[in-house]
Amino acid sequence: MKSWLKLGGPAAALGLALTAVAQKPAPVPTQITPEQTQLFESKIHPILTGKCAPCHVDGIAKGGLSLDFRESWQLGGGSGPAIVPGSPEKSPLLQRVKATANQMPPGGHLSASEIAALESWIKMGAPDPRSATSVKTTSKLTGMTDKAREHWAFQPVEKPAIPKVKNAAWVKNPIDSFVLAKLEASGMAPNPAASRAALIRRAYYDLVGMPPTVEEVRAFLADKSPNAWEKVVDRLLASPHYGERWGRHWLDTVRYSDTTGAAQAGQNRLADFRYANAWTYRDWVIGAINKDTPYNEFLMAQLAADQISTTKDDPAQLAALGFLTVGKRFQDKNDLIDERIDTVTKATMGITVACARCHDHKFDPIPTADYYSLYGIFNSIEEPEIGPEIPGSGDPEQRGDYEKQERVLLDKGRVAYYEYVGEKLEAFQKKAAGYLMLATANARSKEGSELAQKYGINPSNTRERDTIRILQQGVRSSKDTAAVMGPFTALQRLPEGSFSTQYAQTIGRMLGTAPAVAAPQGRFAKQRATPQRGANLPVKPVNALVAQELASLKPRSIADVAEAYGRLFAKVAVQRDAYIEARKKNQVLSVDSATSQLIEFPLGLPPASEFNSTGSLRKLASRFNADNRAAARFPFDELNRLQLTHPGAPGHAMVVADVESPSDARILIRGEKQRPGEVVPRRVFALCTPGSEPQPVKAGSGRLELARAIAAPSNPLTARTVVNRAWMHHFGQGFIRTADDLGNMSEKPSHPELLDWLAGRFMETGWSLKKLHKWVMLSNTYQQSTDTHPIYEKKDPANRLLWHANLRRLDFESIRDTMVALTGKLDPVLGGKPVNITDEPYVYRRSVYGYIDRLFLSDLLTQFDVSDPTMANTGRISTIVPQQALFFMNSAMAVDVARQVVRRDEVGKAQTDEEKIKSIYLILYQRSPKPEEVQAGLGFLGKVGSAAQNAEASNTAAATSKGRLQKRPVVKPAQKKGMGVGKFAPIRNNTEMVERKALDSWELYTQALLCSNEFVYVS
Amino acid sequence: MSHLKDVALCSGRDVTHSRREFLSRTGLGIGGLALSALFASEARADAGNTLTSPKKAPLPSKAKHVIHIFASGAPSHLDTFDPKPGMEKFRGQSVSGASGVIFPSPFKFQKCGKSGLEISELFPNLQKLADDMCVIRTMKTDIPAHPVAAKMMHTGSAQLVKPSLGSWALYGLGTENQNLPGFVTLGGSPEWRQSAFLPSPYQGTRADFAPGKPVDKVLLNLKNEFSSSEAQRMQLDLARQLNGNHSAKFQHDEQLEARIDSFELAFRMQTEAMDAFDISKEPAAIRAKYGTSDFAGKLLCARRLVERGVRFVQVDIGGWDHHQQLVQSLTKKTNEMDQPVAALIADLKERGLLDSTLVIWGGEFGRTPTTAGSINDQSGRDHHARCFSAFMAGGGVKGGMHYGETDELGMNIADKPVHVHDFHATILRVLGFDHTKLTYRYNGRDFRLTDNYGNIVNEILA
Repeated sequence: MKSWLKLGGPAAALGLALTAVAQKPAPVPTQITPEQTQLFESKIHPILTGKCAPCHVDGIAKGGLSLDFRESWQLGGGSGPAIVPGSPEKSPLLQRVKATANQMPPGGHLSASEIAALESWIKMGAPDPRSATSVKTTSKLTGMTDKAREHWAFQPVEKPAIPKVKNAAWVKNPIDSFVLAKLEASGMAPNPAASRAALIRRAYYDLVGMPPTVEEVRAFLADKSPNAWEKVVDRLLASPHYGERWGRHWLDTVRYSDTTGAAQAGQNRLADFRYANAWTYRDWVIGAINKDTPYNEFLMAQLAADQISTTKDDPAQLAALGFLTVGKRFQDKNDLIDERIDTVTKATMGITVACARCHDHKFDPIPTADYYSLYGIFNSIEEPEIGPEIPGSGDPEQRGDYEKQERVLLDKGRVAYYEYVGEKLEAFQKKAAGYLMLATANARSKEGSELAQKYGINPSNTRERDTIRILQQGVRSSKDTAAVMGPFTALQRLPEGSFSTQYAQTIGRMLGTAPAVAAPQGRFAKQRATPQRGANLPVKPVNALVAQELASLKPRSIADVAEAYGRLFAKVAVQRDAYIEARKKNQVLSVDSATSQLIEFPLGLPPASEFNSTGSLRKLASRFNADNRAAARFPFDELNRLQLTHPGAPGHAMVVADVESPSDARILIRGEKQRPGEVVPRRVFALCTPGSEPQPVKAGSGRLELARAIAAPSNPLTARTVVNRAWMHHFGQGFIRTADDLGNMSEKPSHPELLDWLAGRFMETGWSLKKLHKWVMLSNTYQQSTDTHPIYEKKDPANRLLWHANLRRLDFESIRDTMVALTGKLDPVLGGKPVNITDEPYVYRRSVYGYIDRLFLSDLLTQFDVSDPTMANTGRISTIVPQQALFFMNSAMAVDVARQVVRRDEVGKAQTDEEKIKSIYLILYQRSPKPEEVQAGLGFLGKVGSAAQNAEASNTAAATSKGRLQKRPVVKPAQKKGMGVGKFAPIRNNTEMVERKALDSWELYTQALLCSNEFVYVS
Repeated sequence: MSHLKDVALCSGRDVTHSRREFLSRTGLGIGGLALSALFASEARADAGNTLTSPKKAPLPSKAKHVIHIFASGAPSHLDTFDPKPGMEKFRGQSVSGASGVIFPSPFKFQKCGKSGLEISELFPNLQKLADDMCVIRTMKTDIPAHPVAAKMMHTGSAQLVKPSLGSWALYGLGTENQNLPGFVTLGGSPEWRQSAFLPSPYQGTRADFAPGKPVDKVLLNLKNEFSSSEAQRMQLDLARQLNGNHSAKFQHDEQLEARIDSFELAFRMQTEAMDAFDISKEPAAIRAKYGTSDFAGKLLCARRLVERGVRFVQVDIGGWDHHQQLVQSLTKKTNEMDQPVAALIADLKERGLLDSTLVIWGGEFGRTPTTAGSINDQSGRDHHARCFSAFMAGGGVKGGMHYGETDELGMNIADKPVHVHDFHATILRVLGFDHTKLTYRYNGRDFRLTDNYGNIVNEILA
């Protein structure tokens, strides 16, 4: 019995009757001989992987059946074991591949020789060397213990009593009581309050991420009313910039990015790598935080806005679902689901459920079964081709122009599509017989190899392989497939020996009556982002030209039939180019329907009306995803760029919807899709519901029920997680310093009682973040100075007890936003499409609106510790590296800001050098310079004058001395051969380049002040 | 990021404190894993107070630097470093387990050097260095698809976002020259240099280098276009003076002092980086040895970086995905690669740097012994993950040997498999680490490059 199959944890403790695979008496595999293995590998495995695998692999497992493993077919799908060893006639698998109705596999059926091979293999006992149980466990660690379950964070939140303190006079609110009690217990006392100037700067950076203006500082210093501080806090909480600041914190947690992050080989990336609409989610976040949306509702909307009555019909609210959709994309669906499980659980509950993908969590009570319960939920959602448009999201006056430009690009895409299909059709029509034969054989078998050689087809060639796949899998091909291929599919099942004798009867039946193909099934009842593979094809009468050709044919083998088809395709090929040319011009070449069916086979040339949006083009082009060069032909990059930059382009919510038939998932043993285990019901995971047993979901995918369980007051982790994070952003560190993990491996909280008291109060008062900020900021704890203390410094160097305020370096956004604010030109508009904040030409927008490329995260952002958006990452580290210094010393942006500051009115109006220095100090630091600072400035200006002159002279080549804004072309990223030129470029702003003349003395002086520590530290 | 996050604050004392706190915490009996991580980080933290300051490897080692030449696209092992004369008798036959027909290598192998290490005629220059090379013929990986396998080779994980090999090396060893980035990449995907959950200073620095390109554009913000170096010196002096007053107010907090220092480092980095990346400063004779291609320039640059103390340099030479026209395409590729790589090894050796530098060459997987269709001038080889070749040369690794054997057809490993995890474990050992102990705690788990796997290939260690 393998320990990884045992269900432990809460599920077992609560007596859940989940049976694991290992609890069934697994049939003891009889010894498999090397010959049997050889037979299996050469004949059977290729059928299972080549013909059945598109649908019957785990992760897809249509009808619940996977064939990836011996144990998988032993377990079978809904109707029991798929194979009865020794009894081919009793084996559903064999029945289905031989059946006349609903025959498997749909699209291209098995050849007679393949069926015969399966039959004899089952007769000999179906020896299958692939076992799910030949797995080693790697570690004895397990979180499935009572001790792990007793971890404090998994217990319900209970508000503790407020402790008594000696120095009651210091206590402004209960926060102070909790903090002071700990300090007093350690024989320490809190710092006195910080200066008012320091406090207002701290408050501004904390709540809005920008410094106060000098007027705001002066007003606060002059306000002697007892509630002067409270007024500042209230004003900042009411500022729309508050949502930008705290929205950005949440965007770190939810790994926000404007690109998919999907990687191709090497530096190549798919043309379609940008999210044109991720910003609608970013704007929703900022708006929801500004409105102080109760945090429980904030979370629920992000998981299930489409199922909540107050949000489901409002596209602007549906944008909340971007939480699920703006993450990194992968080639493998399981990785996508894992990414979502990881983000959802870390972001909302501070718990690392994704660790349970391959094994029970090593430290926390999260069995693998819980992971796959969530997997079932997230496997039961889909994304539409295009999300609902958000009203008012594009400039209506420019809408017409946008649509015109979009139309041009879509037409370009349509033509590219026709041209590409045309080339594929040409290639197909030249060797049609060979393709048909290869499609029904296994290209990896000896037979396949011989066929490939005979017909001159290279199955390793991406394009040729893609054509074979399209023929095999049917569904990616045109809707006329059955009409053309029906007879061939039926004929290729005839036994070789009696082919010629059975031919007439079979073909007669097909041409005389309805063809023996599957009954029609609602294939795309609902619009789907990706078509399901292996769906049945609707009945079509046989193509007239095919019927004519086959009626008189006297073939000896299926190869002769293939040759006949080949002749037909060769015949229609002469009209192909004219046909496609007409299509490109949006005309139709007049040919009979049988001819047009053959010309278009097997890909189809949908009419222009089907190319009506980026989404529909994406869906059509997705047929050719296997062929990188094909994907590169479609203008997705231009379309996405247009949508991202055109003022008239509307925004669309990046929504998800439940699939029509949500289904439970199987545990994947060790996370490997080839190793399916037991089915587990979709349900919330046990940590959400302490003390009661989680129930299987009742409706749809179960997202809404999961959302409710996460946002329930009884959930022990949700409120604690958010309170801890808010504390972290206010103080520089949380009660627990791992903001996304409150599990057993996290440290003991510095103030567990205060954390719980705040979490309880937070929930009681309507999950309001703004109230939470206010309690924190009105406390004396928050208002302490940063002053240090030689003894405390030794006792508590990490300041875990909060005996002083932490000195903090500004994060990237605050640094850049401050620089922008100093120019006096900040564009304070809220929301909208992302802008380029790292390259020239610059825009004076706030950094939260910066375009973020997940795969190619800008070097600048990385150097300043911006969170890696490939995964949930709350809480940034703060490093000091020389590359940051180079930004202040050399970047065009630092230079530009220095120039803009010097150009401000208050600097210009100053009469003397002393006054000028003072005005620059007031702008940069919101304080007057000290006399020695003025002296230092004067000294610098005196010395640097000549150096500046020299620079002017030496830079005339690169810079102009005229001082006008130069519209120099944007420096393009290095163009490298074969690396997808242009695909790396960030989006471009429509503004002017920065000035290029050499810096003068005052500008050099201002830039030097930007390099100072005072500028980037908040005390 | 738990206690290790504090490392980022450049504050040794903070780390010490929280480690103790962690130790005193009554844990869950989590055993040796976490404890060993703890001690490893203790050793590091005590060595210095910045993230990338040089640290002593815990185990004896010769190699101090790595140059990783990554042949993305998956080179054929059968035509380069794994001779299979036995294939000839199966020529044109089909075999189970691979599509197509057996395609014996059209290239001849020679026994080279004193050791007799067999190397294909495609590498006339490397053949002369056989006695310095250690070929591993039994590499294997999990998934024969380029992006995932390449990610596996660089990060040890095909699925998750994990730090790259270079990031781990920098995390473990720091770097000797603070005036240059410690981990530099010359080409390649961002996923191959990512630091993932390791602090960002461990991420590979992308050098946008090409011979002839202005050196001040190789790294971001390397030069101020609008002022002179003289004026900049005055600016930094002013900032330092003002910072002194500011810093005094905060009892000379360590972060503030570190930031002041970082401007001095940056000032020096401007000149040092421009010098390091300027291969035109090399004597003509040396440049001629490497050749004139972009790739040759990158390798010469790699040597200049290593010479200046850079810990890890990664160089990409892509274009080995030879599904078709193997003979023509592979010849072209090996022509591009052979001279510069041989020149690099010889150059390092002449300078006495080869002892302390580990040179690694290899791709993400190998190629099939078969070709689809038939054998003709179009023939190529498909993806193959079950075995492939890589080689190492230099510090800490034996020369003139091959390790492991593949079967008669070069299709499966016959003896001594070296999974990517084993490869990584061995590289870390060469650098002086027990791969099970070089860990980083992230979200409650101690992560390592080799996940829960990896066996050191002791036989190749010198």
